[in-house]
Amino acid sequence: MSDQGAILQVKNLKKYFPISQGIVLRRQIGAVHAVDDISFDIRAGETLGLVGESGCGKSTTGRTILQLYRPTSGQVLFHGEDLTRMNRNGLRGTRRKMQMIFQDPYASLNPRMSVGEIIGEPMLVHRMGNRREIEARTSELLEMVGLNPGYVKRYPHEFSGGQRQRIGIARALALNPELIVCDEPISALDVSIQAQVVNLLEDLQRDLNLTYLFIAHDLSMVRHISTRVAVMYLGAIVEIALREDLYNHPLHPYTQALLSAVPIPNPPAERKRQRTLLQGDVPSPVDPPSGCRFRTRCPLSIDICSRERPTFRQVQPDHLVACHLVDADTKGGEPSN
Amino acid sequence: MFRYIIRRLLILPLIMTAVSMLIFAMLSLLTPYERASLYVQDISKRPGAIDSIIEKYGLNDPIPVQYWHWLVGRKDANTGEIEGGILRGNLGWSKTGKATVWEVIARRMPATAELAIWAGIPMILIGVGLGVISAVNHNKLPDQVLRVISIVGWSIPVFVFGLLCLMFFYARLGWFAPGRLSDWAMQVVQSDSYRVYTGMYTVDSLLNLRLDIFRNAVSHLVLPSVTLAYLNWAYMLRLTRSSMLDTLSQDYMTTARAKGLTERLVILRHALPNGLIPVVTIGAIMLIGLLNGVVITETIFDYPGMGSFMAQSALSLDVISVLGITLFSAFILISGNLIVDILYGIIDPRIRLD
Amino acid sequence: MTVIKKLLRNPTSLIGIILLVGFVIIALLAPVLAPPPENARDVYMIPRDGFNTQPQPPSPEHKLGTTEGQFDIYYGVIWGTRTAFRVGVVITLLTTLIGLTIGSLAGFYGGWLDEVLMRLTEIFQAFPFLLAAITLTSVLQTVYGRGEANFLVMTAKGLALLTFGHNPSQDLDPIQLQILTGMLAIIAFGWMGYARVIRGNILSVKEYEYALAARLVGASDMRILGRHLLPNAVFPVLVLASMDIGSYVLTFASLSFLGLGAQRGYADWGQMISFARNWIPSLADHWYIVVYPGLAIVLFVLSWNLVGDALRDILDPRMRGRGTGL
Repeated sequence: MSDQGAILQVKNLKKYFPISQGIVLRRQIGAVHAVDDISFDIRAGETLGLVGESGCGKSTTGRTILQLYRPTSGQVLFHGEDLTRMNRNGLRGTRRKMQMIFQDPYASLNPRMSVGEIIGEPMLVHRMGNRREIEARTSELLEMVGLNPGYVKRYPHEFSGGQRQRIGIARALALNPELIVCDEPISALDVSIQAQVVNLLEDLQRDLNLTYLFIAHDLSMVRHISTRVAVMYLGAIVEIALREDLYNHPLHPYTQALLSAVPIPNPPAERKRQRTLLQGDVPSPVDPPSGCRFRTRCPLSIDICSRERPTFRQVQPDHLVACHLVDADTKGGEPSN
Repeated sequence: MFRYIIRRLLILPLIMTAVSMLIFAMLSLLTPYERASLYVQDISKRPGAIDSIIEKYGLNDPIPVQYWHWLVGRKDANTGEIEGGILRGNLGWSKTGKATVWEVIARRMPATAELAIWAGIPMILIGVGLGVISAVNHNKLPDQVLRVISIVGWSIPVFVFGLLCLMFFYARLGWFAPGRLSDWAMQVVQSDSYRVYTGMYTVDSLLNLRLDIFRNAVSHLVLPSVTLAYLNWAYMLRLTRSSMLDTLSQDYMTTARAKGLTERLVILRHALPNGLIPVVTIGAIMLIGLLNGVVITETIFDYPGMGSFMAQSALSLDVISVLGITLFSAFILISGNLIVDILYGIIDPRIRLD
Repeated sequence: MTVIKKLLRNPTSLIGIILLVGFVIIALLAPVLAPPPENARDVYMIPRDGFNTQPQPPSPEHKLGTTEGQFDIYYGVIWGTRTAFRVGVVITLLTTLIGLTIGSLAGFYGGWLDEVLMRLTEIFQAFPFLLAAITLTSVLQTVYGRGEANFLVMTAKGLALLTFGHNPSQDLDPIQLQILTGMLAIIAFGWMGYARVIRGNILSVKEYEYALAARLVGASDMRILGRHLLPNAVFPVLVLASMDIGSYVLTFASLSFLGLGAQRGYADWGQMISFARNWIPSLADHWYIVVYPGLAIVLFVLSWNLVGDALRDILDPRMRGRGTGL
């Protein structure tokens, strides 16, 4: 993997949540393998989509990268500096450059703070100016996200879901970040509003030179906005590729299955399609399957899949996969749609 | 569930140790002189007594050492005997009771226990019963009336209620009297022909086949029991009421009714068993209420139990006695809580999955 | 606020508020309603009309009668209102503060701090409240009787300042001291409920996204706790506290009744009722010793209970945790 202008590099990141049990003293008897050894880059100015089912670890990934959860092991390099080694003080400086937009518009804003206070707080904490300067910038930010600056004194409960997300976006922009992790920012919104918010995000990216990590559970959601897309399953990344590459030539069986579930707006073609149906349920992240984690549901799994975990490697330019089948046939498998 | 019980049992000694430390901390706020003087009846008569006591009980040792000795006992250098030691049942000397604290507790326990039982049973029955009635008649007249009564009742202090009872039923009407037994009954009880089994007059008198003593004891118990019970029934009523209301609003109640069961059966078979589960925790609350309430109740009614002794000792600043009784009560409370927790675990199937 | 409007509309809480306002007025107007004698050393010591041990029934000079030792009951009831407010409010204030501090630290930081603080809470809760208060009061009275200067004395002085406006540079007033020991004992064993409730609330609020956002921005722990978590978690505690004022007054009255709180002759309702202990056989004749101060206590506690109860009803769906369910 060449550097290619990566501003964020994740190397072998793991995040396990311990499970304890015990009569008087609680000891750990197991762990939830939320994020289990993933590595990827995010390049300057791009939008990396991160997609997967509920519980696959994508939100945890986003939060662990930002050090909201401390990683169990691995590195997160931002402009070459390892965030996992920094303490609270060191992180404070870097925090200005990395922010997050949250999924739930109703839980992401403090109901007891006015909109102005919410957006102004980051600037207050980092002492970016006196009160008037902060107020001016708050108005500016509100306009940027398409809200009337006159709303500054209102409270979150006076706004709709879509508007609250905009406030959350304005808050994320307050410190002039470079990278924004968008944790399913539109999943909780009505479909009609979703498009508006996505468009807003795109405009902002263009105007402010932002880089996004866009987390979603739906491939169709990220298609429009992403430059590259990563697919996650049970704590591991199974495929990363440029957008068109992934959608047109998916190599991993899981990606293929996900894509086959996305309806095509072309009824005759849709009817002719063969769906790949996955059998069974998602295994528990406490005790993941041996070898390739996807093998229990993979229609194409072979012997080696249960013994060895496939390595995540580049098989085509800017296209990485973790699959024994793909390894066996280095030219890539046939997409089955 | 077994694990649940074991876990609770194992924690018991830990909590007791911590509680004993807190008690000891309060004790050590006193200087060695003050602590020693609690052992001596009349300081002026025995001037060197204080020092010898300080010596004997090692009251000048460093605090952790003192705590250890207080807990397990200390070997007297001269006599070779072991003095003190909470774990050996030695709670110290009670200046007020002129006996060891343990003796006083043992002497007075039956009285308090008797009172507690006679108060506790009506307390539960009335409190829970009224709570159920209140819930079943939600927002109708019985409910409103009971609500008002229980809020007002909750606001009257025990001693006011007790004194009012005495005012009417003793001073004005002469129906009941304070104390535990009338003089003539006391004489009978203290004579040789009366065998003491439990120390509780109601029980023993029946076992001795003396109905007249029984009646006398009961008549002395009426007012204190009512006073003591009064303290808590209001709280229990509200607890039962809210728990029953929760249960009654559940969907399975509608199902039961839709099945065509009479309302009485619906309540008896479905609402009560489920709604009364949290009421088991009432046992713990009741215990606290009783332990707290006996102090004032026994004082007002001149009832010679642990509570009135506590009040007397506190008044004369007999810290040893006070601390001893508190330690003992804490033990009772903790054990009571433990039993309630275990019962709760047995009754409520959801907890068993722990 | 809409809460106040709702309180006023509810008939029971309206009664409670009216009663409370009445008591406040009485307390404020005490010097007017029951003027203290000219050279009274302490206005809170009830004036005595002679030394006759026989209590006197209500008469024109003593509107509510006198107790044993000729303490004027009317004076005691009026000035006792002030005592009740002081004791109740200060105790509630301090127990709430202590409980909030311990509970929010435990909930916020978790880990071993949480374990330690919660064990501590459990230990304190293992004692029956009144017994513990009595115990600590007697210990403290012995300690303060010594007359030394140490940490405990400083605490008492601080409390005296808060309750009575007593100048800390002066020695403690022995009349106030007995009251202070009772208050300290109640405070020491009264905070645990609040700690538990706030801890639970903070635990649930802690994972809300706005708290994470604040952390992400780099806000300090104190800021997150004080600006984001506590304001959203504290309300149930305030409701509990308002309900508890009544019970603290009751507990203190019980201590006074037993002879451990306010001293003999002080304007405190519980203390006045304790005079009745010597007159039990003739209580029907001396009913006024019990009835008038007793009525004062009942109405005072009732008013707080009504208000607190109505508050809880209003916020019921949002409240979990300890409560007496009405």
